[in-house]
Amino acid sequence: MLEVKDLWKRFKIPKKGIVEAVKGASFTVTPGRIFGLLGPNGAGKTTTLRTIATIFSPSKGDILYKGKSIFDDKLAHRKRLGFISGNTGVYDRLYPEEVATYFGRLNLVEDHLIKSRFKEIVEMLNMGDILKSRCGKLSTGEKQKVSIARMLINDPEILILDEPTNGLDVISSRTIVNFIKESKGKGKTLVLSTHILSEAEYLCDDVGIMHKGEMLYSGDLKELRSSYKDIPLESVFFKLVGEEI
Amino acid sequence: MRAGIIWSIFKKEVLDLIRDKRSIIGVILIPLIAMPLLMGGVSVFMASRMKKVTQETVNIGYLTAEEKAHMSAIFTEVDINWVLIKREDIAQFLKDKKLHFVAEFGTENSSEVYTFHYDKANTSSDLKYRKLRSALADYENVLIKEILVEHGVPDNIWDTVMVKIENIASEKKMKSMFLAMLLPYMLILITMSGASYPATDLSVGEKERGTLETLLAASILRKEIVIGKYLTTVLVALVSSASSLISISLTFRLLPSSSQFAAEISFQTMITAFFAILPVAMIFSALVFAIASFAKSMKEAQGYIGPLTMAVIFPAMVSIFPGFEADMSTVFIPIVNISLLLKNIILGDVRGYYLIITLLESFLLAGFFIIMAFRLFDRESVIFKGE
Repeated sequence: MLEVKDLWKRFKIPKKGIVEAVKGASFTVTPGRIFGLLGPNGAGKTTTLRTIATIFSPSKGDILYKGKSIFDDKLAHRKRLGFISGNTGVYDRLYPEEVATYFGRLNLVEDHLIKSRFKEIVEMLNMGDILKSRCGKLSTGEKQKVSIARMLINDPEILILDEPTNGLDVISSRTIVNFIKESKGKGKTLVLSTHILSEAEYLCDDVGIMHKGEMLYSGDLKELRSSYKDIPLESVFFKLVGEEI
Repeated sequence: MRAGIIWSIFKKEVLDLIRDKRSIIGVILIPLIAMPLLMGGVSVFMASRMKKVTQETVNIGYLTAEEKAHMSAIFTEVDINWVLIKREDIAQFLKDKKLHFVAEFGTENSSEVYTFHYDKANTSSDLKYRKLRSALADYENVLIKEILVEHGVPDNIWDTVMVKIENIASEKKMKSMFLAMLLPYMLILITMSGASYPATDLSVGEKERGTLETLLAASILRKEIVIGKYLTTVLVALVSSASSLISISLTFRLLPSSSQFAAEISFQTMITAFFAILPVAMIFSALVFAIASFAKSMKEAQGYIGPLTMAVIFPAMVSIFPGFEADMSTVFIPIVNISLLLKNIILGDVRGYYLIITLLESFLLAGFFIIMAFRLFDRESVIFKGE
C-alpha cells in the first residue's frame, strides 16, 4: 500500500518567489486498484507523481510504501517503480530493445531476465513490427509502447502513469488503457493522472481530485459519484472546485 | 557510485552519439578533413599568391624620360613596365589600379631623392615596394662605398660594428615555430568545440527530448548520471582533438619543404601533446556540462557557451603572441599554461615543473567543475527549469 501523507511541495521560482505546487495532499493507493489523480493543468498532479517517483523531495510530509518512507532508500524504491508520462521521450537513435535493455541494466536487472521480459512485453503490447526501427522513426503511439516496455522491464510493483494517453490517437489510447487494466489484474499499485475525466471514470477505482495544489477529495470513486446523486464526474469536479459549468 | 551503472550510461551515450550524423561530422570529419584542407589550402594559396605577386611585372608611372632612364639603371633586376604619365594624372592612375607606383627622381642638398606614390593599403603594391626598396638599398650601398673611396676612407669602415648571430635552435625547431604557435590555439579551441556538442546534447538536450525524467526515476544516483555523461563528453572531446592533432600534423608534414609553414613533429611529440590536451578536455567537458545543465533549452545553452568560447580564445592565443613564456608568471593561469605547455612540447622544450603544475591545476579545476555539475544536477529548480 502506498500512502501519501500531508504532502507539501514548494518551489522557489525566480521573479515569482515561493510557489506552492502541492498543499497538504493525502491519499492511499491500494494494490490491485487504480488510483486516479484528477485535475486541470497546474493542479499539482505531475509534482505529486514526481515526488512519488522520488524525482522531487517533499517540502513537508511523507510518502510510505508498505509502511516505510520511500525517501529512506530512494534507489530501492525506484527499483520497484515504473514511471511514464505523456511527454516522456525515447532515445530517437536507439532501437526499442536497446532502450529497454538500457533501463533494465540501470535497474540492475540481469541480462537474461531483460531478454525474457522484453519478449513478453513485445507480445503483450503487440509491438513486434516496430522492433527493427529506431525510435525516432516511430509514431507517437509506438513511442509510447516503447516507453511502456522501458517501464516494465524491471517488473515494477508500483506504476506511476502521468497522463499516459496524452496526444495519442484512439487506437494507441486503447492499447494503453488495456495495459492499465491488465496491470490492475496483476495486483500492481497504480497511480494514474489525467485531466480526461471520462477516462478516469472508466478506469479508476479511487480518485483524488486536485485543484490549485489542494486535494479536494480522495477516496472511492463510486462513493463520490453516489454522494452527488450519480451526476457525471465532470459535474462533480466543477461542484468540488466551486465553479459553474 | 557504482562503476557498472556509470559504464552502462557511458556505453549508451557513446552508441547514441556514434549514430548521430551531426556529432560524427562535427567531432571527426571537420577536424580530420576540413581543418587540414583549410590550413593546407590557405598555406599553399598564400605561397602561390606571394610568388605570383612578387614575380609579376611592376607597372610604374614616370614623369620624364630622364627620370625613367636613371631609375631603370637601378631597378635592373625588377621586371618593370614603364608608363609615361602627367603629374595631374598620378592620383587617377593609382586609383584605377592601372599602375602600382608612380616614381619620381630628383635631387635635394646633394642627395638623390626618390618619391614613390602608391596605395599602401594595396598589399600587392606594398609587396612590390619592398622589392624596389631593396634594390634602392643596394644602389645606396654602392654609392656610399664609392664616395668613401673617393675621400680616401677605407671601405671596410662599414664593418665598424658587426653583428653575428649564432642560432642555437635546430633547423627542426625553427621549422616547428609556426606550428608551435598555431597548434596550441587550434587544439584548445577544437577540444572545446568537441566537448560543447555532446555536453549540451547529453544534458539540456535530454531535458528537451523528455528523456531525462525517466532517467531520474531509474534506480541510479544523479552523480552516476553526471559521471557517465561527463566521461562520454571527455571521450568525444579527446577524439576531436586527436583527429585534429593527427590531421594538422600530417598537413604540415606534407607541405612542400620550401613552404614557410612546413614542419615535422615526431610521433612521440604527438603523444605528449595529446596527453597535455587531456586536462583541457576534462576542464571544458565539466564546465560546458555544468553550464548546459543550467540551461532550459539547447538555444539557451548555446547562448551561454558562445561567450565562454570568446573568453577562452584570448588565453589560448598566447602561444601566438610574443612575450609569453612558460615560466612561473604564467604557470598558474588556466588555459594560458596549457597553451604554452603545448607550444613547448612541439618545440621539444618542456620544463618538468611547468608540466606538473599545469596538469595538477587543470585536474583540480576539472574536479571543481564536476562538483558544480553534481550540485546543479541535484537541484530540482535547475533540472526542471522552465516547467
